[in-house]
Amino acid sequence: MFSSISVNLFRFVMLTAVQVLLLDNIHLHGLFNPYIYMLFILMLPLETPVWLVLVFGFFSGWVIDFFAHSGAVHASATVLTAFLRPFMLRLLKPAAGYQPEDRPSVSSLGFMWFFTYCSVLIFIHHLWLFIAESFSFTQFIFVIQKIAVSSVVSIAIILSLQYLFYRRRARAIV
Amino acid sequence: MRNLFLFLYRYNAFFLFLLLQVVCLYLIISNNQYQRAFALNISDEVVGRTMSIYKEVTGYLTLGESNRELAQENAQLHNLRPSLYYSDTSQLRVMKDTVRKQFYSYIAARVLQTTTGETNNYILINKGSDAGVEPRMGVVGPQGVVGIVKNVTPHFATLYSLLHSRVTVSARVRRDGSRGTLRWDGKNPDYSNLEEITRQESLHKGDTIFTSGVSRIFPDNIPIGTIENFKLVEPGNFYDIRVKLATNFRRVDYVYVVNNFMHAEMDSLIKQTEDVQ
Repeated sequence: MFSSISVNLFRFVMLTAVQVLLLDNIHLHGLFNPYIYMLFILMLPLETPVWLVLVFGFFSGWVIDFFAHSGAVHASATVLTAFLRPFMLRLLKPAAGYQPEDRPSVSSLGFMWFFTYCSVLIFIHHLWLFIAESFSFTQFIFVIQKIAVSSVVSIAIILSLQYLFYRRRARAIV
Repeated sequence: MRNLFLFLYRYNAFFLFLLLQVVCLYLIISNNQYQRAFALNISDEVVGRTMSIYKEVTGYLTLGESNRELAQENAQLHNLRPSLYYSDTSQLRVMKDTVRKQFYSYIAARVLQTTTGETNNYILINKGSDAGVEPRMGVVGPQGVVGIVKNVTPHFATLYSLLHSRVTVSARVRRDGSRGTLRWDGKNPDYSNLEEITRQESLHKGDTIFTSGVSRIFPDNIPIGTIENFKLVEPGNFYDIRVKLATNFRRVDYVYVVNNFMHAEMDSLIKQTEDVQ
């Protein structure tokens, strides 16, 4: 229990730091801004109660908002991601159900599972975020383009992070 | 009543989601419309301190560029030294200047954090109310106009940069041209748009755009940028001018906050005039 809390806390701090100090400084003509901080929400243990995920989502988004001076658009997008997380988990449930030792990561549930899981949630997060940020439909094409490119880049970064911190685990032979 | 609680309990996740979204919406709207909330002021101090440390480290990476800019500015200032001018009067006079009074003064500051990728971009600087910075003061850099002070804490201040949808600056073409309004379209951080210049004006690519001085925020004739291209907007009375901004907002580092000594006086005068109407 204790190790789970400290691992997640460490992950939260590291992701926020990388997001704020590194990724927020990448600006390619305003074409895309990759966001990876919600990986913290995606990788919370499967048995975390939904209300706790929502509260974590709000605060992790809010911290990013502090640094980006953006009101609460990140908080709003992350709360939506946290809310949709249980639906995605239910949708993607393996035939045998989740095992107690399963974690939402590539190393535990495989590439295809994690890819579907993270790409859907990240796309929704970005969609909500950029629309809330522009708060109007005047530059619709530009915003759509930004959502698409940013999502692809964010998903790519998150998948590479998964392999960078791949934790090999002895699988029980059934 | 019991059923209501059961209902609330059963769908607790959904109601919590709604509640948090309402809080978010409130924060988004209040952030856009009013001075930012008290809680955000505290966070500015925390964010400011974090970014100071970060800047301390990354500042070394751009030392060369900063040095070059400062040296250039130094040279400019040296050129203004009285000792460089040959004096052809033999008398020495002491003059008490009662005709001219200092209008603007500058407060030097450093940029701690800047965004350029959003629709509304902010800049965080390391001088606040302790150094005399107040909201609505203008900020200029070595190359030109940077932004307008929005929020102030004792040690830090946040600026609306020129790359903010709600910032408009009164500007004119060359030093003698007609006045228009500079407004950013939210796309490319290198360019902005100058509107409301009448068709009588003769324009050339590369003409410099200066502040007009009517806003009381910036002194006049501070460069803003140069004309990239221009075209007449239908029905053809006004130009739409694309301006290449002088300031590189990704790299801006040393800036000066402009203090207008007569701001309060001018403001109260205008307020009186408006009240009469």
